[in-house]
Amino acid sequence: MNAALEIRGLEAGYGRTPVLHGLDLVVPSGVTSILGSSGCGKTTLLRAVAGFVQPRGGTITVAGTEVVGGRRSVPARQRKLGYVPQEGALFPHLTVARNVAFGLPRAERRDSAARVAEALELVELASELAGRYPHELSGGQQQRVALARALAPRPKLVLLDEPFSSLDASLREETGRAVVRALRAADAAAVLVTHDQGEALSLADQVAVMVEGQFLQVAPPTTVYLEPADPRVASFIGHASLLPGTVDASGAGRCALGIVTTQSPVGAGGAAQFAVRSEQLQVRSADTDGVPGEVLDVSFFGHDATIRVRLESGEHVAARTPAGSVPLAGDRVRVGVVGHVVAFLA
Amino acid sequence: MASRPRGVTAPALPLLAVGILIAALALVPLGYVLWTTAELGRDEAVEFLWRPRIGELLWNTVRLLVCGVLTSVAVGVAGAWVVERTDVPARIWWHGLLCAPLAVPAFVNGYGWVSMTHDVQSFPGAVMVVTLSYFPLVYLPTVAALRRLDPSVEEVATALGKTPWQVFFRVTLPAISPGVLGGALLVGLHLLAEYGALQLLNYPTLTTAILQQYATVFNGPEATLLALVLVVFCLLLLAVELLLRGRRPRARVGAGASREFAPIRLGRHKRWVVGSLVLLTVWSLGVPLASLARWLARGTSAGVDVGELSGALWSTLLLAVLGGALATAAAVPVVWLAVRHRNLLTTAIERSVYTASAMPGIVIALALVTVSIRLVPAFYQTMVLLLIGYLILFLPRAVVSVRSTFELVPPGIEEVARSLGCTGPEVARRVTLPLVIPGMAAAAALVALAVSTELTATLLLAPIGTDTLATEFWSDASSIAYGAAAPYALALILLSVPSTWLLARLSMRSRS
Repeated sequence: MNAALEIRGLEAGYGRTPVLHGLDLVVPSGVTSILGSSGCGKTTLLRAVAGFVQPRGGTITVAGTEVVGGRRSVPARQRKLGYVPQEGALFPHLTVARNVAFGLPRAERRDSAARVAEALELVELASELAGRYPHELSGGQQQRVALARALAPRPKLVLLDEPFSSLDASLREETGRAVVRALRAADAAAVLVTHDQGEALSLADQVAVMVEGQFLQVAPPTTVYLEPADPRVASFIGHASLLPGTVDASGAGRCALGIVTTQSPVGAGGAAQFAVRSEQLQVRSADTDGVPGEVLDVSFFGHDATIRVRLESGEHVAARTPAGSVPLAGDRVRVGVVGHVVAFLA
Repeated sequence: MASRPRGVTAPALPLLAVGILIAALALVPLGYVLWTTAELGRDEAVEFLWRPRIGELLWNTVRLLVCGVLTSVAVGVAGAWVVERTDVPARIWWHGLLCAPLAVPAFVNGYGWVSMTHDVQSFPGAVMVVTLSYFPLVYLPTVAALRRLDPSVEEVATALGKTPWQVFFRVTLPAISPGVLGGALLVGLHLLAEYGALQLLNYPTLTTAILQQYATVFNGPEATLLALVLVVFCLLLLAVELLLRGRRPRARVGAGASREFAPIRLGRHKRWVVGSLVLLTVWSLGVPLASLARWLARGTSAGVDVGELSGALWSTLLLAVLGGALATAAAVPVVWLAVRHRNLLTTAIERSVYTASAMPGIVIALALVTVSIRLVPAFYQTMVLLLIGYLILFLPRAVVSVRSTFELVPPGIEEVARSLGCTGPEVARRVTLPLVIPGMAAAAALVALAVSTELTATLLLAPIGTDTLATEFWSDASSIAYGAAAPYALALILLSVPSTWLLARLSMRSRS
């Protein structure tokens, strides 16, 4: 079976500004999320796949059909993709039913009640909503209708551009899961563009971390989180503190946090950068073991707290602590490391 | 994210060709002015323009322009501030009454005053009558700007210990100045183009002189030269407005200023504020309407020529419907190109349409007469030429109206439609046009109403035998047959009511 989406050496830009620098990506099936901060080029990538941006080079293949390659480019309307932009972009002058049926061939549109009902069921919306207009729906419902509209023509691939960013935090998670369930039920692969790492990690089968028009790492969520391929991935995804130090051939490292053990043997050894995720750092009272430091500030979230500590060596680190044992700013504490840390050879 | 350029694609060739054609048509008046200027001998031009008569016309035009704009701004801004910011009783009624003078065409207002007292046939009288007719053009954008302005800015200034006057001049006025300036520019352009009211008031300006020249020697170089001077005035006015606007820092107007705020208490000033509003209403509406009622009562006793009236009504309606449809149909491709296929050429097309808004109707009419006689004599003295005149004259309004709804259609919606398999024309038919229909309807209505009360260009362009309500009114009123003119005046006012009502509603809705 062909991959749902295959991108090779994609380059694109606006005017003279290049945005994408030779991207490669394979989406076999399931949900792939493109994670990056705003302005990194992730939306441009999505629009190039959809056919709204003309790439300068590279190829894009959707379900075995090359849609961009050389000078050839298939128009957006013939690519047979589902596209869900930010805010949903429902047609305000059409009812839910007619929105969903919009992309069906003319003959099927006339008698589309069954298809509409099927699509609404996929996205877990009551069929009573079919007669409503978009402004009569809540934000989460609008987003689901937008997905139903994209799924109704049965595409092999659906593109979602920050579909949940306009929703309340409480709705976001629930809608996200419903969307992924619908995609799986419809047997459609999806590319989900987001700047929210929680969304990317929790919804996707594969995460592609993008910085300045390039992928730093493309891997399953756990791999991206636990084995980041690049210090920038580590600091972006795990809120990891990056500390300079040295590592020897056996994998033992030395940095401002003392002796640390690294996840994997690093070969020759030498100068290195260590990435310590915040939940790996334990903040303890001053009379126990660990590296001494001073609490700079505390952000209390309820279920836990993030504590920023200045170590005696002058380095700053961030630690996550259970809600029950939160120190105050200015407290003298000791900091210890739990588990293996990731080392990047300098 | 929003600032990222959307995929700007090249427009389809037929659409572009239509756009270029419309732009070329809209540029005819400007081209005519430039061309005839180049054609005229320099000595001849200097000799004609260097005469005491021309000096008198220029002086008359300039002082009317300056005083008329200043008084309109003073009345319009003061009225807007009182209605929008104070606890004056029955605000919404005052809003309606301050917009209402727009429903009385200036030449009908002039007729109302002059048929009541001949004292208005003077400079102060002319300033008063044009102010009473045109101050709503300042009032409306000022009300809208005040509504959009976050009142908390003014509250902060008050909390810092400023008096209401200080708050107004140091905080409010600078923030709403773009709206006020825009209104002042409109008043200025209207004053330069005004013919009917000033002719009735016996106050000669460049525009009235052009029509007199045209009436006596038909299409001599004198009328053209005066038209050129008039266009120079209009361009100067635009330049002044740009200059004033450009120097001011762009006041960031709060996006979410939707909350209510405490109005300023008038207290002991309430009596004279309300008194001034009453006086203004009596002057701007009461006098012309009372005068009209008097002439109606007298005129009907003399008998109304029903056949003539219904004939004029019929041709006015026909022209209004055709003009509205034509201008709207022409506005859609212009807006489409400018919004969806933005590049240098399409922007130039849109801008060239706007040049007509700086051209007085008389210059557009003169240009069309000359060009049609020289190039397409078959069009001269036909409805086609008259409709083309209306098209050029009112296309800017149609474009503004269509554009405002068009911009509300997010391009994302059209992209979704394309990704669902629609071709370009299908996207237009199934998504874009249905969403733009309200704007198109408003544009057609606005242009139709403007056409139905247009006087100056109609006088020059209407084929012999085609009489509209405005020209019938004019032939009676200018020959002092005030009673016979009254039914036409009433019809013209009734025709102006809907667009005035629409404008009044729009300015109140701008807080959203």
